Amino acid sequence: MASKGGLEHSTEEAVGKPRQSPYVGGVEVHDAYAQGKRTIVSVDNVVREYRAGGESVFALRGVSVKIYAGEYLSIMGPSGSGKSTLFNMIGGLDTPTSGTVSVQGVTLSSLSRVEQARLRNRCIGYIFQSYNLVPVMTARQNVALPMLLGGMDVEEANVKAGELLKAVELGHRLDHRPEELSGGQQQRVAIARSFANDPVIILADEPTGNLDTKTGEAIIDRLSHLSRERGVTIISATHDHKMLAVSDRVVTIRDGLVDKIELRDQLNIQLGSIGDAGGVH
Amino acid sequence: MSQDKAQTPPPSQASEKARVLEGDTLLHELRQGWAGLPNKTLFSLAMGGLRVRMMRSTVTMLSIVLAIAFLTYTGLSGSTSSSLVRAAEALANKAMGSSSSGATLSERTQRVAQADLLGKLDTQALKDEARLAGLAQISKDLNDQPIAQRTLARFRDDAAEREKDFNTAMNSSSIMSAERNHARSQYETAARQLAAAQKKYDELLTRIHMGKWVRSGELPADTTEAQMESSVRQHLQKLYGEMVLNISTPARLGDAELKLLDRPLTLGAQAGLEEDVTVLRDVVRRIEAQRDSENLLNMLRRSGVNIEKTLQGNPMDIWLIVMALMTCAVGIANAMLMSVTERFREIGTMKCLGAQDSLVVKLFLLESAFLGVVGAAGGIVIGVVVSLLASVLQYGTYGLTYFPVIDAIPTIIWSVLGGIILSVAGAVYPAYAASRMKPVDALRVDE
Repeated sequence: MASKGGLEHSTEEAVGKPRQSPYVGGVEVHDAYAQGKRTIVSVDNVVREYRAGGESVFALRGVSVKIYAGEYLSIMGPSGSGKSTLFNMIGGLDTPTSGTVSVQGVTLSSLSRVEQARLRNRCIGYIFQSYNLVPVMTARQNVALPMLLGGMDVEEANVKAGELLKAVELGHRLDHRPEELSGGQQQRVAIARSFANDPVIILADEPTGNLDTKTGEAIIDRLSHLSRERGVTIISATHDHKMLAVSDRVVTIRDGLVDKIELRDQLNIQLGSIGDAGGVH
Repeated sequence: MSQDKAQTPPPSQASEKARVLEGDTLLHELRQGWAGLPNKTLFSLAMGGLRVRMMRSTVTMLSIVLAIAFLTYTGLSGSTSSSLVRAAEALANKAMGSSSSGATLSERTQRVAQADLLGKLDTQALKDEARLAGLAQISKDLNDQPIAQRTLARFRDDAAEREKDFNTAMNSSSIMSAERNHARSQYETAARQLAAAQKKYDELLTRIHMGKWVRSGELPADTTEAQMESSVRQHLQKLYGEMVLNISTPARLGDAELKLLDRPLTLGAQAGLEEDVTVLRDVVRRIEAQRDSENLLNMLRRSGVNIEKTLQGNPMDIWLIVMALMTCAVGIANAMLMSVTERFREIGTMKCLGAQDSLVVKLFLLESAFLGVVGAAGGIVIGVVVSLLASVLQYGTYGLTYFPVIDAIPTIIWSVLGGIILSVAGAVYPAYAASRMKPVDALRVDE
């Protein structure tokens, strides 16, 4: 529990707290916050076990989180904590060894591969640290791709892609390929793409990780602006304190368990000190 | 059953939000599915991929081109040699035709050779005949004439000197008879050489005179038109007669003579010897067939073709083709595997965006099928051109005459099919493996 891994909020660490069920504690603490909110993602006692050379390694040891509609949630934790694994579970990119993940009231494990792909297409938008644009397509085609995969008409998809790109101020770069765009521009294309099918959830995996501070800030502003404008739930894995600052809640993962769940007002107190310590990365 | 988002702003997006589904309604829609990616988009995505990754596509295609060219070449060279063997066999069979009844071959040749072949020809027809027989081609002789003249003069001087030596030796009493004999034999040799050179020169001159006359009617100073005509007539009669007589000893007949043999036979037929000429023509055809067959077999042996086995379907050829096919398969599979593995991240991204497994498979198969078609087409062109060239280089005109055009069609069809099937088959496993990957694993792969 010592402070390592760069970003720690160790001051508030409850040493005596039982580590087995931190989630229960979290909910109890934030009852007032949860009041009247619709649950959009429900992670229930999820365990993820990796088998490596006959030995089993637990990336997640029983994590339970509820994520509410419209909130901006950050998942943080040192590398190897299981943060990415949880993130992938929520996005339906990985399947839990035991436990369930539900999105919009649908349990992911009850879906076939095809249905899971459709769910990803309709309900979830992804933003990656390394942008992951399809290199052979122009910005507009990249943004239109999820819509085409969702069965939208080509014309309609192109028009909407253009609008989305204008919304991220890339109206003048519609027909450029990723290689012709800067990192920040590529990430803005990725943001536009993540909004393509009007998803309920945007999953952003370290979206500012590959960007300089200033561009990163612009990306965060753009993302939080869009999320509030469109009422989308944003779940991001991040180390970036700028991203934490705009989060409604921050979930900290440590050793495959939820370490703590904090509300923004609790967090704000500490942000000053984090900021002074200089950013991360 | 759709439900507006329980979120505040902004009303402008309300209609879009209507699509936000929950629980069973969402499940129902997911189960139902919706229209997939339009084929046109799929196609342009695959083609765009090929265009943007031009370098890799080109290398992959090149490997397919080379593999198919190799396959086509192997197939065609096999059928070329079997076609040639079959041709040699057919020619040999033709050469073994039944011998004629009645008069013997030598009687018939005698009759044709001694017939008055040129009697019915007037001056102009004689000139035409002479031109056909090649009498007008005297440019080489004209070139040789001054050299021959100098050679002749040298021999004449030489002979005169030897004669003088011999006379001196005969008239001198002090010389031993052995030396006299030596001088005599020297003189005789020189005289013989002179006579031979003179004869050769005279023949040359005759050829030139006849040639000039045939060409332009030009006559030497001391000769009349009638004299010239009769000497050309004699010359042709003698030439044709010898050629016809040589039929019974076919080894002496060269290509040009065999071709020219048609003239005396035609003239013979006109002179009323149809029956003999028919038999002789048949013999000539058989001689030609025999010679072609022998030439072909020699060429095939020199090229290391096993003639007996080729006729029965050479297992070596089949083995070669199987090897070529396997080389192709491995090469193409390797290229496709590279192409798929270097795009795991892209595949992961596409899957995150909602691409179905089948779409990923389709995309790669489309791409590889296109590479297969274009590569196979290129490979066939190269393969056919190379085997034609090789065939001509190895077997000369026979290679062109007996090029297995009919046999080539199945080879070409098999090569095209092989190219497509191999490139698709090479892509199937990598594409399938890529499509079955969990998105998270596909994304984890470093670029």
